[in-house]
Amino acid sequence: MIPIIDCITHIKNTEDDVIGWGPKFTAEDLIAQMDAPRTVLGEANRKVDKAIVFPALGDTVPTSPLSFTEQHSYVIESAQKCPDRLIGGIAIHARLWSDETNELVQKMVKEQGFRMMYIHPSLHKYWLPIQTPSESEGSKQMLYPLFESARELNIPILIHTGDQPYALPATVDFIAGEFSDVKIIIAHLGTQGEMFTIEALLVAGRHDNVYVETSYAMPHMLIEAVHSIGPERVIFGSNCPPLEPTHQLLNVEEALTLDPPVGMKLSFGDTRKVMGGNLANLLDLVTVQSI
Amino acid sequence: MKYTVIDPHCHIIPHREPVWGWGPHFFVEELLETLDRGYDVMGEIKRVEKAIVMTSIGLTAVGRRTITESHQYALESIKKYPERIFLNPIINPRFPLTEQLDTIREWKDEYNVVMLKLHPSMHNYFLPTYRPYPGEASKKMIYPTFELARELDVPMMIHMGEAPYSFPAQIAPVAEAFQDVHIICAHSGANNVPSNALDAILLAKTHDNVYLGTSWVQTPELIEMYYALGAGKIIYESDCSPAALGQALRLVTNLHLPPPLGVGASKDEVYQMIGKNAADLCKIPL
Repeated sequence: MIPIIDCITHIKNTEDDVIGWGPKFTAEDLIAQMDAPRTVLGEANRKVDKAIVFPALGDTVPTSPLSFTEQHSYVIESAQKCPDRLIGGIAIHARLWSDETNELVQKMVKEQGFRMMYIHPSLHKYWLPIQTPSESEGSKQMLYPLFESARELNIPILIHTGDQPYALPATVDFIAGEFSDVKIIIAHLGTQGEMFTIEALLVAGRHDNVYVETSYAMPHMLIEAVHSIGPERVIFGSNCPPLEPTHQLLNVEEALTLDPPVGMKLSFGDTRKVMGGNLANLLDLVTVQSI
Repeated sequence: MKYTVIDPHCHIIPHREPVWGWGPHFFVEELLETLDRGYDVMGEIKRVEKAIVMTSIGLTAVGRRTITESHQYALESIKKYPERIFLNPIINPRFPLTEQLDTIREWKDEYNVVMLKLHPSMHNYFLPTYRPYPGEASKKMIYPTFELARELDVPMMIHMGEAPYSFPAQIAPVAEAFQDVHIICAHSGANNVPSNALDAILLAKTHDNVYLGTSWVQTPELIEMYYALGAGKIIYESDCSPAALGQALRLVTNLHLPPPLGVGASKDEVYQMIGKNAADLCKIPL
């Protein structure tokens, strides 16, 4: 059976006063959501099998007093407690990158099962590399070592998109070409405060190593995504919290499987790829079974 | 309180939409099947009891149809299913206005008219502004539609969501001129720019007669809406078709969940948002 895997979740045992949710969302809260009663593609009581879990992003902002290790300690602890359900994700503030951070990242991936990096240009205040040298050189110096590390570790990099000025999906284009052997996932299909989905799909159309993630996506844009780049490069994510996994799964299921004009009548098989099969392949989790 | 779900924002059309392009059709029977599908509402499986339907917007914009021609299929559908569906006629104020308003007046009882709809983006006009240009010309187009809403005692739904004609704040002048007409800000302006909903919240907070529709709105803005305005001003709507109904309903019923995914809204509050508010405004018996 193809698992359902959630590409983006967050946990923290206190509020996130930067992103703005609270009072807390613990690993237990997340697993309760993964196990909540729901019907998916006609299957009753379908759980979310696994989730990539990141720290609360507020802990990673430039003003955070926490070290890189402290930012991830609760995720490390939770992923170790629930290794069958939670897969650690590294939310890396690129300005904190150093040889020491690189060593910690290597350890997290090789010894603690972490399988994804997440960078957030909006929150961490930088441009992705673009053509203009004055802006781009600093960005390259900051981000290239991180991408080289992802290449060495063979893990994908999730990039937040959907806000001006730092998180426009089009700015993923340059680095996707420079690191064509690194898998890049454009988060939220370019939709947060504003909707830049078509941009995201243009970038994905130009680069085979670029995938798109579905949280916050408008239903008609999910349809456009599958028509543009096929179901194999569209990846379900809930962004829970603040979004609810059942709602986000339903968003995907209705848009992809219902008859037109509401949906696109995609097969259940292809929809299951979006809901987890693609990410399982991307993370080399091909042996995972639905629980 | 009667726990009934009403969807006040649906579109039906027997062929491809001429402007948006979606299709091949969304018959009234497809809508009814969608309403009857059964949705998980706070743990109970519920159907959507009633819907307010519009014709497709494109039929009112291109092809120079009369209002009767652009609404033909919607009218026939109301006649077939008068217990389930109600009509929200779309007015294009750039077409001869008196004829449209007189026709709607005639339709009121025979065709379950419970709301009126304006779409500034599709029909290319600014709502009345404080400044004279284009305000005065706009008033000539728009005020008669509001006078009809007042006369028929029905709310006015106004599409919002795009530059340059459909920013929620642009509703303010007409909301002030017609304080006794209820206005539903469709999509809360969020369909292309989700953060427009924050402007819509401010609009509704400062204008007692403005209510906010939830189609295309994202969870964080909906949560803000609840805390800013309370359940009494939030109106569930799906915009089906082309939007999917289930996810649109789930968005609102999730307010029942505790934070951070919801706000811990009571069952009564949720049903206010997904049924009672629309029923009260549109005088639809539950």
